Amino acid sequence: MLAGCSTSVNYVGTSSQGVFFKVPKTWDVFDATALKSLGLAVNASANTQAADSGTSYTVYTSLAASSHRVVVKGSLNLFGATPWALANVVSFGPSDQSSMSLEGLNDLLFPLDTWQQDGLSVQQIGPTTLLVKGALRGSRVAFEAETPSGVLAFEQVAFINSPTDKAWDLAVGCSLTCFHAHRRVIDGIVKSFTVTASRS
Amino acid sequence: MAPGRALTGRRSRLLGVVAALVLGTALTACSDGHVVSSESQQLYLKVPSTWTVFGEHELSKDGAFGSLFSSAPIFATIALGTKHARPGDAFTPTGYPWAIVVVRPLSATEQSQMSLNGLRDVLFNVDTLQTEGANVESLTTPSLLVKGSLHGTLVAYEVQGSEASSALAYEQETWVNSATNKVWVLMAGCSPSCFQAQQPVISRIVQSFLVTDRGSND
Repeated sequence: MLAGCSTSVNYVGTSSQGVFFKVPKTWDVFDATALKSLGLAVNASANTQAADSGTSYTVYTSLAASSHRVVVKGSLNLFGATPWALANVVSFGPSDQSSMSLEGLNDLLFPLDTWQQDGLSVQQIGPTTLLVKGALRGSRVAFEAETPSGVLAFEQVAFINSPTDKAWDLAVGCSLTCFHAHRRVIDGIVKSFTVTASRS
Repeated sequence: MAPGRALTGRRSRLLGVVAALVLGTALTACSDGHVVSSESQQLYLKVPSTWTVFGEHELSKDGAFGSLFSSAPIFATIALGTKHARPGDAFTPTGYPWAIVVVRPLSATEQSQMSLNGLRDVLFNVDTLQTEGANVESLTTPSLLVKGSLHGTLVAYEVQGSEASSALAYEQETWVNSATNKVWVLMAGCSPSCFQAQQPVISRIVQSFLVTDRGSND
């Protein structure tokens, strides 16, 4: 769902999952077809299987970027000069529910721990901010990460609910140079991240 | 156990005694038991009237009790099912049941790493004991507890060290707030044979444990 609510920003999100964030009006918001072509669309049948087998699965994804140039040869380029914002809502299976911590939220969108174990450099940029909104708890933190496909920098905000069975997260980033050049815009998007679900 | 039903049950059981509570840490003798409460820590608990209850004042004088904790709790009370006991008898495989209530802050590291699984280790580190070779058996399926901004677990374990006489069985209910910087813990147990014999009493104590903190500052 996408609704334009002001002259300067677009609201991205969904009321069904209780999640919204704002991006500049000039940004492109990817629709379901575009997400599908990038392999980011929610797969209902796969989710049913995941739920049945007790594993975690993504129930919602949205993507916005300052330009369609974030897609290069049909693939999403997270490492270029085009800032992007990627949001997910994840439903946890029993195992992840039992082991999830505030620190664990860092790995929700990107497997930072795995990258580190593989010898890649993952550096936190700035302090972690603890976030508490009613029954939701979460964190806001930025990383510079060397990945198998390139180096990216991003800021991430994530919340988890009281039963610890659902998480909402948003990462906004691009290449390291781009990240610093667009720090103010990225900060504004991250700050706008709002989760209205399960607050009590 | 369905958390919602359990909490509703606790509320109704405590309805008759809440009116007797006084400000601050209190121990109120009722016909059917002692009510242990702390207004500042937002908790209530009921133990049989025949039990001996050590409040914070007595515990502060007991060196054995103090040695049980690596960091000082914000609140602690111990109740023991005998008239001749020391606070330090808690956590040990006694032939009579005991219950310990602790409220303590979580360190920054604990805050960032705490999970529902980790809540079982906040008072008695089962994970470390297992690593050191102790045999740890879960006596029930762990239950998830959710009440507003608080979440927690209800677990029961039998822990067997190198000697059979050191075996300990206990039930533990743990709550943590939304900020993940404070835990409320009730642990009730004794030796495995005692635990089996005293299961109804221990269950009633655990079911009476009520944390009324909202769990969130906003």
